[in-house]
Amino acid sequence: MKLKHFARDLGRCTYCPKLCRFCCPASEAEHAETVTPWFKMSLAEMLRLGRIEPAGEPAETLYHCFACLHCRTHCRHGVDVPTALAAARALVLRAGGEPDSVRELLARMRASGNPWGEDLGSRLRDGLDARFQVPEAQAVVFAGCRSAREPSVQLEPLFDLLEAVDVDYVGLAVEVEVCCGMPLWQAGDLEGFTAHARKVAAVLSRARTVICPCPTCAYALGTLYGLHDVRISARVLTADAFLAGALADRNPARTLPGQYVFHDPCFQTRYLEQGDGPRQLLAAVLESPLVEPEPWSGDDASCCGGGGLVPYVLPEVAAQAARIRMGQLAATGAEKVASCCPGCAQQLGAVAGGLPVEDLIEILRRAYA
Amino acid sequence: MLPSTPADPDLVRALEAICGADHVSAGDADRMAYARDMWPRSLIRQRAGAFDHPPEVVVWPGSAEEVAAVVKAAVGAGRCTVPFGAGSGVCGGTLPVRGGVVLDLKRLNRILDLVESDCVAHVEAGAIGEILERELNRRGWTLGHFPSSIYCSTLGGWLAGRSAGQCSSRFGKIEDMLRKLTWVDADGRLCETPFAPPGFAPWSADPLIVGSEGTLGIICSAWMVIRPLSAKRRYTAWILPDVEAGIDCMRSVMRAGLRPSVLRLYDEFDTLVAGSDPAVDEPGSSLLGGLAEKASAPAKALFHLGLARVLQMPRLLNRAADLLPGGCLLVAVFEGEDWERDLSADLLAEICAGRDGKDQGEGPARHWWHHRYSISYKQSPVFMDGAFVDTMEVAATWDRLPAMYRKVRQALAPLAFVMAHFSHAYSEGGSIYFTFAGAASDDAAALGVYDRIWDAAQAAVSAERGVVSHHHGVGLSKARYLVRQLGEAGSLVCAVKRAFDPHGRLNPGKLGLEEMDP
Repeated sequence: MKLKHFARDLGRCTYCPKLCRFCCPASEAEHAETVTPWFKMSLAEMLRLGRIEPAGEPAETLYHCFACLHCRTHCRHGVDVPTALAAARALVLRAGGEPDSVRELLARMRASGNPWGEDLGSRLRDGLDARFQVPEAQAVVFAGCRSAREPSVQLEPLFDLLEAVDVDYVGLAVEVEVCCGMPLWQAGDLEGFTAHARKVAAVLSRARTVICPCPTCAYALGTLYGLHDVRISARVLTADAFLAGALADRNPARTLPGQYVFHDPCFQTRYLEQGDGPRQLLAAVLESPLVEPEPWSGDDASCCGGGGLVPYVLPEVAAQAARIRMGQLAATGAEKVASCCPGCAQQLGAVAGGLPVEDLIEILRRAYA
Repeated sequence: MLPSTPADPDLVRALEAICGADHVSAGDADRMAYARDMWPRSLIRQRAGAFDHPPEVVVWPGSAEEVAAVVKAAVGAGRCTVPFGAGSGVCGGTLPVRGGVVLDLKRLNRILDLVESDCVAHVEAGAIGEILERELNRRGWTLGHFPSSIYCSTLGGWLAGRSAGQCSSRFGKIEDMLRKLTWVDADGRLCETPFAPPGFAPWSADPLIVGSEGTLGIICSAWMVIRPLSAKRRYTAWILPDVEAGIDCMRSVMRAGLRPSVLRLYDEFDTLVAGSDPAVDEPGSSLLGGLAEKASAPAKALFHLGLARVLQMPRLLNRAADLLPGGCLLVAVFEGEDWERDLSADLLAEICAGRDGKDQGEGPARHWWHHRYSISYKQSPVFMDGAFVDTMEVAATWDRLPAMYRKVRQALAPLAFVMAHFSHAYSEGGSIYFTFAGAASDDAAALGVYDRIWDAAQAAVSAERGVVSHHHGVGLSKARYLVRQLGEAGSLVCAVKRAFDPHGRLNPGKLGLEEMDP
């Protein structure tokens, strides 16, 4: 994945009149032409051509991307901006030109295996009932760093739900890196990412099914690892895809009141193209029809600000994107937000005065358990 | 490379005191980003790695009061100011040719008020078109302004350049939708006039500010007419034997008092492009694909040479396009009540049938509507292939329009491949939107060809008493043609400029104002 291989995409963006500008969350949060996909790709093209140095402010600009892929929804050329920018960051990293905030993030990743720099493995082992910690189970849950950090949001409800519906063949993969390694990839540390992926794949090699509560992890394990020649033989599923099968013949114990609006996680809907799955599960348990924040829904859903490295290296920009997204969701008149990504839940949940945010798994637990 | 001119630290501090340090930048990345807009001449320079016009500082004010304070600070420091929307302009109108302070207005992006009973909304100038339209739609309204730049342009930019949307035949140009402006003058004063419906509006400076491209004042917000969102449309399309017959149909439609939301006529070659698949993405194919498909076998071989090589044979290409069979596509879309849509479509059918038109059903019009913003995607492959493409939107009265079309084509035939459509119609006349593509052996030579194309095209327009620009504005690219068109009246325009901006601090170098000033 070298920048020189992206010449076509870089040129398409450089000479494009910014036709994805309106939907780019970085552009909307910061209001600057500098962080539009057009100009970030123009900078990457200048980098490719050796017209700018891989350091300083131009290089720093390359990190102002949520990797949400919303730009591709409106790109008739099908340009994959996040991947091209990751290749550009790899070049910056090799030259030692990355910003300090990225250098610190990478140090945390290398020290702890996750972007928080915390011992999430211990937290997971200590925080979740030991009976669920069955790494040799047929189907294992790959927690992901955000869920591992707060097991009560997704992991505990997931196992409660599975227990309630008599699914006993799922265990938690605990002796594994709890992060999928995506921050390494997004920072341009492709060698580090590949090494991290190999470690994850080795531990998961015995599983027949890997369940990812976080759609970003599902994409990383199921797709991105393969693009870097790391194979996981198990079937990788998002939690909603697994639960759709597990709950197929069951009726909920109760339906839930309240008006929910659905927020599409970028990796669930645009990367994995599985936006329908969580909607169908929710439709089965909600008393009122799910509300859509039209037209900012589905492939056209705005990012919550939780994507890419932005929450780690530019937290105020990420918070502004979250406020914009919460505004779209709240404008529907709904009472609560439903989503299916721990990153989205944390990002949107932190918006002051915003709607309460609930994860799909917790909603299903209340309905079925 | 980017010229290295460090910003005046006192100026930066003053601006930071007004807008906050996070909203002021003299950094290289920002200066590079704001050193260009979408003027194709700039893109040719950019291809060669040039940054001709970087600003000294970029500032993002968060309110009209901050805009005023920034202008005052810039004046105090002896700097000029250049207002900036989203940089989609194709005439160099936002290029900071004297450096200075660029004011990016996109933090001013709110709908401040929406009065349903009066069908008006008060909107800040930095609102991006598509986001604004989506929000109005959510509330059951539309602005009715759909330029093909809607994804990447702002309300303030539309007003500054007298923009026209694709539904202008029904809703008018942007200035027709304006009821009141708030703007900042060259001394940093916030100016506004009382709101009033157009029939009894007081005399004000607003009409001068609109279209002045930031040279007389900086637009901060505007009260705009909005309409209830219409869910029903009727689509219809006809093939007319030639451009003249098509123009005659458009004229008849407008004289009959019909109000189509869309009325567009494509010449023979543009008819092929309008019907093409915008997703086709091989270099050059999306621009000349129609011609390549229709060409004879020996001629087809030419297209394998690559777009830039083929475009260096413009005479041959234009001859080939002239020989195309197939007629000219006329697309119409009607909105309104059932009776209005049906009656309008019936009348259009009568008019077109009377000019030997052939009914194409609704398919081509639906296709056009679905792809109505797609044409801009064709730009990148052309520039990547070493060629260039540009557009020229001019207007004239109906009696002059056919001759103007022929003369511009004739003038450009030796220089560029050219096609055209007619997309904005009025009872008195309409506009022609020429698209021309060219190439040369290198970028320096391409600039020479590019300039000769514009000179030749505008000379032909002038000969038919056309106007230099219909809705893209003037900026840098058409400044000398505007000077010629205004003639002696230019001195009056300059007097206005001197009254508004005696020291020439607002967006200098644009509209030919300095050339006209005696």
